[in-house]
Amino acid sequence: MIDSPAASSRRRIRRPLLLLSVAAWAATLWLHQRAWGGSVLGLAAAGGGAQRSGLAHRFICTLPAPGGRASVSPWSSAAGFAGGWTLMLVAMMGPLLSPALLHVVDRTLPRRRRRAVVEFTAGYAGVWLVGGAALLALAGLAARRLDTGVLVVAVVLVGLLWQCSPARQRCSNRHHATPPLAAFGRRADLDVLRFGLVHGARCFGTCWPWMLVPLVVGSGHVVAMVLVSLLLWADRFEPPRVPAWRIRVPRRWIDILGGLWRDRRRSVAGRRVRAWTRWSGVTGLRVRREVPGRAP
Amino acid sequence: MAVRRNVYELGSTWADDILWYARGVAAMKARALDDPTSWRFYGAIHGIDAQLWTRYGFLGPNDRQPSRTVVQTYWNQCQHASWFFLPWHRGYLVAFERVVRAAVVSLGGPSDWSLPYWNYFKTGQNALPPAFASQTWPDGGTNPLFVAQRYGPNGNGNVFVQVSMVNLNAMNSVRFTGVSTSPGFGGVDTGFSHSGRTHGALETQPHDWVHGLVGGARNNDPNQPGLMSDPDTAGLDPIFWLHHANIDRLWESWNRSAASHTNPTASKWLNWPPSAAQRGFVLPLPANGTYRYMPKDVLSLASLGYEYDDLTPTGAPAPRDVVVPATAAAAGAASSRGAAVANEEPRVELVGASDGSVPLSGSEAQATVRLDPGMRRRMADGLATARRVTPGGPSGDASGRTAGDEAAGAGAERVLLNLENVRGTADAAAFQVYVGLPAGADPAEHPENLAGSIAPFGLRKASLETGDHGGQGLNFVIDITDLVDRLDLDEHLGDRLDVRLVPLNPIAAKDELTVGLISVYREGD
Repeated sequence: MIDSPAASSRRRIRRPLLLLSVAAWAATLWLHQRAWGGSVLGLAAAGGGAQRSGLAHRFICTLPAPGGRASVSPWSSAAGFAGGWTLMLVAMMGPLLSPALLHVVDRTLPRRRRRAVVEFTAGYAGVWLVGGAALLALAGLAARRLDTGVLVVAVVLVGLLWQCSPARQRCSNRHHATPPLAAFGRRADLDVLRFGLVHGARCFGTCWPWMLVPLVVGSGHVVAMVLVSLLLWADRFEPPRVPAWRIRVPRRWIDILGGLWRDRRRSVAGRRVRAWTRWSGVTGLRVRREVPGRAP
Repeated sequence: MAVRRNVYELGSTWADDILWYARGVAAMKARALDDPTSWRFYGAIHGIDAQLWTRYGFLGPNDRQPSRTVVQTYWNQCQHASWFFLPWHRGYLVAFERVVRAAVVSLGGPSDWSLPYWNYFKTGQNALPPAFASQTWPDGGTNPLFVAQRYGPNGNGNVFVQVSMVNLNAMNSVRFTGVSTSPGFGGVDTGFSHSGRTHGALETQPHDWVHGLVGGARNNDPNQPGLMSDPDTAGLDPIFWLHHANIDRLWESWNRSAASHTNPTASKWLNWPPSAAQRGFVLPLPANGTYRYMPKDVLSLASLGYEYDDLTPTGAPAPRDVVVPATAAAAGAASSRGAAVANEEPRVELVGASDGSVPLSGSEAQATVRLDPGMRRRMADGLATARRVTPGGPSGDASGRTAGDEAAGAGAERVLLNLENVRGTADAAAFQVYVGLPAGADPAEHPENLAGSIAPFGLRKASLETGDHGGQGLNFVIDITDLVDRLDLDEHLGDRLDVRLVPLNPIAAKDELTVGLISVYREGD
């Protein structure tokens, strides 16, 4: 498919991120199978009364420790959480980072690009690790007082309220920002690191309630991850707007997918028609067909 | 076939084409705001800011606002900093011309009336056309083409395009679309965001400049911009349409100047929007008509029913890469290779940047762009290769090159100066950019170091944190290949490059404009 130079540039960054995301999803599913047993989706197995409580409530015992043995050690569980949370981030957020990473790569000296990508990623991940720990603590506290079902409903309501708020819109608007980046020395390192931190903070500010959902859901944790990922991805296409209270349902993704599907069908049809035209020319058949997509 | 003619060559100040235009404008101005074929409605299609419109008397408490659906469908539709800039404005002109023509016909005028264009590059034609400068007109009363909020480059109402500030360097662009660091002739594919920040070459020069020079600011006060200076009021000035007719003419001229100067062939450009549910290009027509179009619908002037009397850009330096194909086959081959080049992602790499932001207030700002030694050598090697391919250097004789070489971009090292995250409140705060001046030198004494000039059209909107751009401002790109090539040849290209920003008019400290970063990029192998 013919594409623009800018689109080729975006694809150059997006493809490796998609591959990483797929790998992270696979690893996450494997971890959950080990944690929950039975079903790769982590759905409640038979007799799973204890398994129905939220991940947050059980994280100490649920997440596999290094070496594969369940442990009540806070350290091994915290490490386990950090690892699992990082995998979640890579799986869910990875593809969404392509515009920011493209900015870093394009605006950095070629010899510093790998370093810049590492610095940006460290800043971004750092915010999410700290934020994730706070979310987990919050969810854990709430889980001790509320039944899982009530907790899930409460979190979803908070998410819907936040989704409509001007504060969230402000975070979302600034999420598109790409600041200038110094080219040399420590200043270049600090600028990229700061960009990662700020981008992470705005990302966190945009979607923190939704990231609580997979933490508080008991069974179906992975299903929750999938649904939240789709929501975040769909929301990515919404344009910046003036911050205000409004009902905000992502809809633009439908048009974009429809357009991509239509473009693909047109491209395939065009190749078939051109092949037919060439064949008819070779065989001497005089058949005239219009090639779709050609400018008038 | 309707013919759009040069406004200065119609025969007289109030020749038929311009007189009927004025009558058509008067008819549109008499219509209510919520009439889709009214003057103000058409102006709001480009952009509207309620505060500015009210201040200038274009919006009042008695105006009936169109419905929310109508506003969301039509208003604030203009495409800027995007590869849709040229096709959208072409359709905008076509629809506007039809509305005016319908008004002209209803008044007994010719059915083949066409919109004139203003070619400010032609010798002796850079002053505002007299029909627009006069407060009176043949039909008596206030001239509909006259606008009080039109202040000119010096802010005193004397309106002209300062020829030293504009150029046709964009006509040398090799490709229509590029990337944000090298945007190409027509601008960048911004994907699904539609909130691009980098202006394409033609949009930067002369489009933005003419807006800023003609609109200006009253007594150079950036809080009192002329109508043409701000995207949200520009469509209200009758000269806007003649200016954009010239921009449209230059697009056609670029297409025809070389076989490789092709428009994008990507389906996502040709067939925008991807679905009917997504906001596309739609404009009102007379008799409750609607004009929906995609870029693919506006590529052929013949299919749109008009042509220009002259496609010569005038005043442009001889394009570096233009070679007339010897045969039609060569032309076809050049065209296809050109299309291949046009769709490839260019290799654009950072060479160096300033140490930080550059505030611009007063009469001048200076910055030092530090160049990475390795990248500077690679850039110099690329320029040297380009000189070997084109004997005599960039301005030398190109007869040894073939159309295939031109299309394939052989020896096509380019050096691009990026002014990133330009923020401020003054759309009329235009400035010139000098590169490679000796220490302590006066820019005015070194015209050979003038790299280009920037008119930050749309700056105010782009700097609003609540706006589409999140307050990040605009990016501008100037091709400085020839200048850097000369510095390299003269062995004046070291690891530090002096960059001076010289405003057209001094900028007060409170109206400070800030350039987030000045950077240099190379595009080549």
